[in-house]
Amino acid sequence: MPAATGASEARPLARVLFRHLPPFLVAVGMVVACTLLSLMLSTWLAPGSLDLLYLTGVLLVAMNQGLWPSLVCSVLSYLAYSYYFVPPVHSLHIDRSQDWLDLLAFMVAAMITGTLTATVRRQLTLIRRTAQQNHQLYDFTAGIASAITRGELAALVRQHVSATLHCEARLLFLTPQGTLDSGGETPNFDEASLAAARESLQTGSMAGRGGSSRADTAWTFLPLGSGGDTTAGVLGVRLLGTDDRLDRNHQRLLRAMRDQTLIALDRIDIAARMEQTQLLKETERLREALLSSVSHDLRTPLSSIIGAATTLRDLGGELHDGQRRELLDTVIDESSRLNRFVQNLLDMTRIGYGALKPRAAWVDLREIAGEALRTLSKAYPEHRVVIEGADDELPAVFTDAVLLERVLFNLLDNAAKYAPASEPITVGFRHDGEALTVTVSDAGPGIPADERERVFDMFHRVQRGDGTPAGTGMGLAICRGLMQALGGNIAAHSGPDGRGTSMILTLTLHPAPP
Amino acid sequence: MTTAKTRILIIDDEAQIRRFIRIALETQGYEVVEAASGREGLAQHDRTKPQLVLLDLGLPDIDGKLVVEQLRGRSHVPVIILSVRADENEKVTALDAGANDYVAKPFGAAELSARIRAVLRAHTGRPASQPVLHCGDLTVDISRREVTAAGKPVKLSKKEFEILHLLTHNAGRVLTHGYILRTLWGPEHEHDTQYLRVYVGQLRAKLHDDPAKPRYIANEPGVGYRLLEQAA
Repeated sequence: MPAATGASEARPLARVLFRHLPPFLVAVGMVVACTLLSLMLSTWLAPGSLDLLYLTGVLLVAMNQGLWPSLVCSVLSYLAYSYYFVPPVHSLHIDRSQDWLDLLAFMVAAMITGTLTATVRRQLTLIRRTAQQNHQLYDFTAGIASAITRGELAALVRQHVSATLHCEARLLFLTPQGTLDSGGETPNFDEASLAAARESLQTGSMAGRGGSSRADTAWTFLPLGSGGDTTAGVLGVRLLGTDDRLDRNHQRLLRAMRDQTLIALDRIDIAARMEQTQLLKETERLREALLSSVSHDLRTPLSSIIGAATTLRDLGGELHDGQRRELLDTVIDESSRLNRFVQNLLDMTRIGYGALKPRAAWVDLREIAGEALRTLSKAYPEHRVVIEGADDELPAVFTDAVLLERVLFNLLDNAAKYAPASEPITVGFRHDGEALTVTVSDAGPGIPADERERVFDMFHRVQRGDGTPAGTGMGLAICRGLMQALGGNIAAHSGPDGRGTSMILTLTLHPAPP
Repeated sequence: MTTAKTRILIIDDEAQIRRFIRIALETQGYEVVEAASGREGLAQHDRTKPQLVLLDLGLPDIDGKLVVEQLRGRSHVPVIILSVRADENEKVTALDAGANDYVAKPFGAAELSARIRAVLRAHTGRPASQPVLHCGDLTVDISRREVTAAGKPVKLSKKEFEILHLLTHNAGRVLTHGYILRTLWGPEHEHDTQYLRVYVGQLRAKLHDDPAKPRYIANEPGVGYRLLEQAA
């Protein structure tokens, strides 16, 4: 893999010099400065102690400019020192063997300290860079943590990678159809880049510019995975300069970000799968509830009808008139109950498919209430209903009379089912110019406050200790569906005096009829 | 049974079902007591001491199976399950909890009466030590281990004889697969339904009983077997 240093051979000499020369110039300058200073100080100081000045210069260069400039500095310092201060002065020639030894010691000391200092400096730089990368990686991980969908992840990864590496970035997912999807974004890849992306996807290694294959493209791709079918997609980057390449550090950082992206992707996919499972469970629960409702609510009246009819047929001769009459009542009552249940099933299906088209007309609510009460008195002859606020002030309503009557009947039916026959059911009308409410109140056991919204869920039944009459769990769900189709609302409240239940229907009032 | 009226307790939350059962049973000379919930049913049982209980499994307050267990804790009164549930497991659980038989809703008046008669007879009828059991043209001689069907002797293996003996002893009642297996093979074989199927198959072949139109052993799918009571 060609690295940054290998790539520099191809560049013009001037640029190389421009980049690498300054440290050496500093080294030369340092020697010149040390020499000038030593010349000035030589009047007062013994020449033997001036080498310390040069040593300091070498250390400074090693600290600031690195190993090679410090070596150059130490050689030049040696030459300058021996030329100016070691007798015979103004010559590189050295007479005394003692001076030779001094000079050699100086040279070695300069080189060792220079090397050590330069190494420390290099390590410091490395640590700084690592710390910076860790910081960047941490920011990246924290940045993409909020992604809940693949699309959000793609957007966040794009944003963070491009900010960190100063490049253009894209996260591409492999779709089930085998195409690469950049999350709703129109991909701006040329053919060669796309081929590089696919290459990376299949081989599981870096491809594109700077990669092991298809290096002639603008983009560099890293696979999300180890290649083959399990790979989820690719992470692509394009540096902004046309000749730029990712150096080793950036590559390492990019790989680390890719790994974090993979972890985030796993998390998102697992969450999505769990949600899917949850949804399936909910569907399954609804299906089971529907099955058990149909099984119970169709079969129970049928059982009564078949039982009563067979008793009439088989034991008819031995029955007296009262008993025969009772059995016939059973057949008729249970048939109408069956009819209501089938009506509910039909309503529910139509609501479910959104096929409910209200046919609105101007209607008098009192007529609708009257119709619902007539149906109720057939099913529950013993229940008494009180009507309040049904005076001549009651405005006409533009709505579907048939659907509204069904809502009202369902509410009355519920009230009669759950409340004792000794207490009257109240139907109250109230209007304030904008909206009109119809309230159906009963003195039954009431609905716990935390269930007042859930009773409108399909097949939800309030669980009670005992004596709860069997319901289908469809009635209120149908009421809400019908009221929504009518552009109105339905809500459950506590009954008057905090006893029982008040179901409140809200209807929008339209401008007066023409 | 010939002296006082037989008292029957109906536990069902559906008023209309109670109504027709009451009329049908009263017309046939039974005395009827009603209850609309499990708790009320147990209380009525303690108060009226019925000779038979008709119990709906889908009660609003207590699971029907628990009602059976509670009843069993109080007396040996025979229990017939009335169930709209299509779930066979539900019936098997109730039968294993101690119920004597079941009638699936919807049922006719005649079917219910027949089931009630069979359960009452099995419960109050023959003592366990009776040496020869008769059921229609089927005779099972327990001490001699001899069986005749339609007057002809039938040679049975030991297990086949035991199955037939058990069914005859409970003639007219459904016996769950689990009950038969537990009784004749032991509790560890409770779920080996295929054993039972093979033996009952052989037994039917020897009795010349057509599984599609059984004269002796009727199959209750998913539940168990019943020895049919023939007009004797």
